[in-house]
Amino acid sequence: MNIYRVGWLAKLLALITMGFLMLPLAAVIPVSFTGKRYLSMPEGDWSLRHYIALFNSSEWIGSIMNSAIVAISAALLATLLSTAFVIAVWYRNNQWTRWLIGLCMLPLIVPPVVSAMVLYFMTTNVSHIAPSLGYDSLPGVILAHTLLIVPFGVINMLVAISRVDRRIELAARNLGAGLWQTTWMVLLPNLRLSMLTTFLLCFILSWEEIAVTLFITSWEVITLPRQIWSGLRDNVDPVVAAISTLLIILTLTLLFLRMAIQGWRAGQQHP
Amino acid sequence: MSQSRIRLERVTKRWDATTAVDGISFDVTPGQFVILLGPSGCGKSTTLRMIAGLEEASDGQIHIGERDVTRLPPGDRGLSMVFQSYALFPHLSVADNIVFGLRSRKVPKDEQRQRLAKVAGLVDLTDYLHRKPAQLSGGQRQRVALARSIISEHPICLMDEPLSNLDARLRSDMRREIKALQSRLNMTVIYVTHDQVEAMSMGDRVILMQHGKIVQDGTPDELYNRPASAFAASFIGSPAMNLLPLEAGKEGAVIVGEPHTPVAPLEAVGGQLGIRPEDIALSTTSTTGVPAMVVSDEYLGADTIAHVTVGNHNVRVRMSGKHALAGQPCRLYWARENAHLFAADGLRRDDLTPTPLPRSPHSIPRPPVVGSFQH
Ligand SMILES: Nc1ncnc2c1ncn2[C@@H]1O[C@H](COP(=O)(O)OP(=O)(O)OP(=O)(O)O)[C@@H](O)[C@H]1O
Ligand SMILES: [Mg+2]
Repeated sequence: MNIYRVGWLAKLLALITMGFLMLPLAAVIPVSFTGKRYLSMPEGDWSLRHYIALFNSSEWIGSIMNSAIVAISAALLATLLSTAFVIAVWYRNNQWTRWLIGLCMLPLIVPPVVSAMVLYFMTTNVSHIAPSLGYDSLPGVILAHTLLIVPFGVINMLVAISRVDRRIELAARNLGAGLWQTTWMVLLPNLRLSMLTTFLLCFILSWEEIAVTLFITSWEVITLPRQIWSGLRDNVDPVVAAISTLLIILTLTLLFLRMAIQGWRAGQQHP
Repeated sequence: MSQSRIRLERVTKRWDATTAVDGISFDVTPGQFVILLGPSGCGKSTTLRMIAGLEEASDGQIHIGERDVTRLPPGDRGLSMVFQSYALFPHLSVADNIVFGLRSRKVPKDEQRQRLAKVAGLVDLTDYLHRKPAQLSGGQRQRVALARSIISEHPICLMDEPLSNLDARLRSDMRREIKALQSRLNMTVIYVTHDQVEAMSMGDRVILMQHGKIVQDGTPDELYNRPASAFAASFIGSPAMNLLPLEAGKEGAVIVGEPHTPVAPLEAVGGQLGIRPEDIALSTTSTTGVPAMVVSDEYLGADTIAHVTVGNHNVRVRMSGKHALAGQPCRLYWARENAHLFAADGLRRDDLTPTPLPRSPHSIPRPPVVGSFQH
């Protein structure tokens, strides 16, 4: 029983904060339906012209495709890497693995600009040897994003694997399962849902990444955030409002999906 | 059947600073039901895990049957194990949990089905095969854990406190079931518990451990009637055996604070006298025996535990039926064969016999020697 009640002041503050956070979102949605050629509130002239423009523009579609390729690949890589990492840490579980976990978290405390600069030098150097992997290339961006989002994946997977009862590993070994069988038949099935939520998290992080992307791409690989950024700089086109609306919908969908998965798992209690 | 013999030779387990198991040796003959008993942290689970191969021995040898299995992986040792709090696979159905070992050993599907049907019948789980562990009661999960280990048809089964998560009634049912299963399948069982009731009622043989060492290895009878040390004496039996320090008196060793009644020869001075609460007769009318004072009594239904002071010491006395004696002076009496002497280092002294107490004609007949245990 919780004996603390939420007072009216706290409720009011929460509402104001929420309103403050939501207002830009609420504004951008009607703006995307304006009939005019510049950013403005629609005054009876609702129209879908900016959405049509969006889907007819090869630049916008191209950037969406680029972002999708980058985000899906980076999220896949990050999920696989972090899963493999936490499984190894789980089996070993000693002094060294604790250091390794700390090492993995390092990118989190480095300021993004520093990461961006380092990755800029790295990709340009790689370009000398293999241009298709380095600066302003899809694989380059994918690798850079993977690097940035792996720590988040590791955190998510560490939480998940710490919930696995260690005794089931002993039980599996006692029942004749080797390392691979234990991993495939016991560990991974218990991590399946967490791998999915890790993937979704990593996807969102890569999908909206801009800081590092600005440093390591120029004109070959234009991701969606980058396209929005340049769209805003050159001319303020309501297409930006349209794409923002679509992004809000996509992000909300992914978040709800993640919550639904977690809720479903909470329902399946462990013995 | 000789492949189910288990032999430990000076087996030791060390972790950096701690020695969890310290050079223990024992030899389990096929078909025996052996209990590893001891207080928390004494190394029972570690011993069991070393036998199972889930923990590597730092020293010593483990033989199963004719083979030295000390360095063999767990799957090759020909034994199964039931874990404390079951360790079922949460993502698998009851059926898949039970056949897990057969699947990992690549037993043909047909045979898996046959053996599953047989074992599920044996432990009464046939109606639950499609459920997940989360949808079972504690007792049913326990059965799944049992089924998962006996389906392997290994002649040896190791059990680590398999009943500790169940309530008292279910525990006593499962105790009988496990015993029945063991004799029916003719398994060799090593069973870890810290519950002395389980140990005494289930074991053919009890190995009592303390600080990683074996204190006593014998039948439940021997542990109860001839405890090898003061620790063994106080660990077995409920309430625990009374242990009274002895000092020198005029005619022999006396209980500290009660200088008038010699209870043992002088050589016993410095050690302890042990008497079980159920072996003491208490009389408020008798004029002989050790003088004492009843402080309080605890009524337990079938019997009453009287807390009395003798000299400077508290002594528990078990009496059958209901008694309200608090505040009354009384006399205590025990038969010489029920008194145990322990040396200063705690070890049993068989070289001395306790002094017989003068028998009063009025004393209450002492309750029957309790060989059975009430929880
Ligand atoms: N992995 C480990 N590293 C270091 N010490 C350990 C480890 N596992 C167990 N120990 C220590 O070894 C000793 C024996 O542990 P063990 O689990 O065998 O006790 P137990 O008799 O089974 O106790 P319980 O009845 O509480 O289960 C304990 O002191 C414990 O702290
Ligand atoms: Mg234990």
